[in-house]
Amino acid sequence: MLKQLFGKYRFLVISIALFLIFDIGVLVLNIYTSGKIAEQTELINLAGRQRTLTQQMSKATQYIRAQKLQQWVYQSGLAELRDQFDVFGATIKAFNEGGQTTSAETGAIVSVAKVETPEGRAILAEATTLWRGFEQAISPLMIDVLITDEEIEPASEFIAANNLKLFDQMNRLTEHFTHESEKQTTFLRMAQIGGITLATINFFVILFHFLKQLRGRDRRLEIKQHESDQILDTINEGVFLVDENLSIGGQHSRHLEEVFDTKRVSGRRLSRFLSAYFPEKIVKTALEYTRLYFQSHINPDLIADVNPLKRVKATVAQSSGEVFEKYLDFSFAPLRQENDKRAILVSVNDVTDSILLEEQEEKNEDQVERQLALFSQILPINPDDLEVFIDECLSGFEQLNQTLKNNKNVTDNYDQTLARMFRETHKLKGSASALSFSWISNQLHDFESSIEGLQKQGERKILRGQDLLTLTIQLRQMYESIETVSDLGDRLKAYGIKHIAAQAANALDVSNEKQPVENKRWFGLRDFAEGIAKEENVAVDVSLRGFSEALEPHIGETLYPIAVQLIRNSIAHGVESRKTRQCLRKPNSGQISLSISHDSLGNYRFVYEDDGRGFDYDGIRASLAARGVMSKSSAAKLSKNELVQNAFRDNLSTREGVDQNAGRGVGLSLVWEQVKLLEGNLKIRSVENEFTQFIVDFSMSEEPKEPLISRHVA
Amino acid sequence: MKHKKQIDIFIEGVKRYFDHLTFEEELLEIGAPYLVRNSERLGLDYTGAISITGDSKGYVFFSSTSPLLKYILLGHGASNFSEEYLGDIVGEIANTISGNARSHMGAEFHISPPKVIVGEINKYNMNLNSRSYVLPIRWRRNSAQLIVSLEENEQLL
Amino acid sequence: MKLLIVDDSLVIRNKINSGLLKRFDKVLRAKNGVEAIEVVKLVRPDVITMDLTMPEMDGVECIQEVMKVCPSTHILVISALADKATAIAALSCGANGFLCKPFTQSQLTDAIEKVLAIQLSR
Repeated sequence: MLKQLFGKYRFLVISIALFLIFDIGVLVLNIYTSGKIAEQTELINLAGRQRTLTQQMSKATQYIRAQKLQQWVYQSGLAELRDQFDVFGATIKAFNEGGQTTSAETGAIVSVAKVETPEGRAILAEATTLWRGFEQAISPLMIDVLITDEEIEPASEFIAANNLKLFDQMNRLTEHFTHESEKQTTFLRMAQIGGITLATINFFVILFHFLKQLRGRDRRLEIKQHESDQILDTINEGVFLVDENLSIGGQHSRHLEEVFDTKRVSGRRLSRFLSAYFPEKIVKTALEYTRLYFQSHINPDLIADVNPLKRVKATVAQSSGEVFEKYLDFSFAPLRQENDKRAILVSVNDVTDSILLEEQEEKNEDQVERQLALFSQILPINPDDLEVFIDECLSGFEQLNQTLKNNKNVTDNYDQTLARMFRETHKLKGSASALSFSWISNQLHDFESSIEGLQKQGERKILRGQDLLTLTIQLRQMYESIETVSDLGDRLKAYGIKHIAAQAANALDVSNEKQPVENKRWFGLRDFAEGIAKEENVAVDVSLRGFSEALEPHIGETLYPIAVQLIRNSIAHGVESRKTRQCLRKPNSGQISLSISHDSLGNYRFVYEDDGRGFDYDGIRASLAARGVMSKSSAAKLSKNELVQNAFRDNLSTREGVDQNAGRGVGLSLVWEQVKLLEGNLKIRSVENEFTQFIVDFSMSEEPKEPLISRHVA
Repeated sequence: MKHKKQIDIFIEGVKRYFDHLTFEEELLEIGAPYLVRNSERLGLDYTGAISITGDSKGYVFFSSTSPLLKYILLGHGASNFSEEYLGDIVGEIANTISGNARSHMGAEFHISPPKVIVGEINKYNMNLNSRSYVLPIRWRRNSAQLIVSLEENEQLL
Repeated sequence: MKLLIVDDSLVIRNKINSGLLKRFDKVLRAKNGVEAIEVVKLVRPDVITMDLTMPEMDGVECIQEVMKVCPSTHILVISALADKATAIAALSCGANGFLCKPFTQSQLTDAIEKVLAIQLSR
């Protein structure tokens, strides 16, 4: 308590004490001085009476002298004189030494203090000396009631002589006392003025001190307010308070205004506020949830899980009129305020970005799944084959792109461009299906379909460069696909995952071990052929000769598409159904053989043969007529040789309908393009219902040759 | 075929600009589009570039040889063929493309105002492993290119 | 101290039981709301762990009944987070806390202590 008194409130205590001291001081002084003034007044009165007494005593003596002959008469005067003498004597004695006398006003006995002032004492000293004379003169009259001449005459003479003098002295004394009294009064007034002045000063000191303190406190409050404003302005979260009536408090963070794009937050009902952004059902649940925090039977720690405002989608209409969807996270924390009221601190976070990121990640997971599917297609492919295939695709795509690019100045004739692209695509598709790589072969097939669509369009109207945009876009997609494949292949290699089929083959088929790596894919043609045969519902046996030796890469890469294409053709067009074959006394499975051989001079011969139905000459005729290459009648006149030549035209197919195996009609033209690459000769022999044979002769020697197609019909 | 729709919009923008030029009937021809690796040189003499962010993001460039731009300037009656004027024209074309794109592609894309580049296009913001579409443009026997470099936010598979 | 476990799944009942066996003198079990009310009438448990989705009588209804019969019981809702609105309704009508399935034993004991710490003036 004391500590407190002299601590925080020291100034106040001291100020009030001083105020009291000043007031009491003035009061005490007042009482004291008032007493003094009363005394002084008494003195003035007494001195005044002395003055009067001198006159009265003189009168009384005169009277006694005049009546001295009549004793009865002067008795009353004598008694008066005696009284006056006594009173005067007592009073002057009291003035001199302090003592009692009778009051001039009331006649009561009063005490008189000894006169101390030098001036007073001087007057008194003179008066006392004179009074001694009076005493001597008057004392004989004090003895008895009979006054003699000897008694009265000297007294009368003395009094007459000195009476005025004593009067004058008493008058001076009165004046002196009056003056003293005035001095006292002046002092009192000064003291009062001084006291009041001090008290007033003290009052102002207190006042200013408290004003200063109040101002200081206001400033501190202001600073606090400013600080909390700053926090609310800069905090990166939407923060506001909700009271027991579910109204929003007066303060909130600025971020909140940004989140909801509104300034109308403070003081609103929570329900109204939320309704602007959330569907009714969510608002209802949210309010019920918020109420839980004000209920005493609930532990707030145990209800965070049921917060319905987690990752909720808010529809925020911006002032510009645009509507945004945001994902928001609300969290609640109970607070107990100063007045013991409860409130909830609600913070709102915009989690849109992270949710979109998660969605993206989920998409990526989808992608992973797709990649897994892709893995399952890649895994059975021999890594070396895959590498060759990827290279083939990349250079093929480059070819396609170049074909597009070379066209940039030609606006009226895209036929050739499309035909060239078709062949290139067809070749790649062949390789893709040879590897059973459906993911790529499907894309190539779609690409072919697009080319075909454009070709059809081109028959009706003149194609413009812009029309080819779909092809460019598809091409880009295929580029990306093959890059993905390449990437996956690399990753597989990096993880040391070995080619399943190769391992399986190594385990089962010892003869395969001797095959050079480069030629493995030739042996893969057996599986490829079986695959297509199954689709076409026929059976085939593929035999390979001369492929156990390493082939020069250029030769291998050029011949392989030919083989693929011819196998397709044989199965789609040549090999008959099992029943037909039985009627013709052929083996159940169609026999396909491929062989490669060369002499020491570098002259190569590649032979492909099947035992199918041979060239379908009527089919070629019909197709030529249908495509408008020539009339039906002129087609009918063509020799078999000419018909075969025509079969190598672009887009000729005898098959109705299109699927991945046949029907595009580009097969043979592709073969021819490849032969041209080798600068080789192509010989075709075919016997109806017996066989078809393709012989490619080419040389690796330096001599240039004209490519030739010749045909022999046995 | 999201790209096709978008590229068609860009082409429309180019056509719109050239339609406004009141020359004698002279057709704007667009050749077969092809691909070019982003690591290769991109751009002709002057290029107006707009960047696109949104579902797909990337850049659209209208790149032109200076003779074509000079022809346009001539059409405007100008005789000053300074770099500044040529850049101005190419920027105006890019602006038409971006304006057209903005009105067609709407809220899901943010399309920047065009920037003019002189000479080869700086590619520090582009994926160098990716490929851009090049649409060759011929007008009065002069050539220009519309180069579209778009990346999907999700990878194609 | 008496505990009543209300859950239609035997596995969950066993899990809660093994987690809280030491904390309570007596552990009772009920596999639906109707059974639970019978038990509450007889033994007036101190704590009930309550599932929300059960056959016969669902959790919210059961809590309302318990509140009528024995309002001094502490109730911890233990449920999967399928329907937050139902969970909130359960809390509004008298449950004291919520624990989300699946839970760990330490989460369970912690939640039980927190529920027990609440002074109930009803």
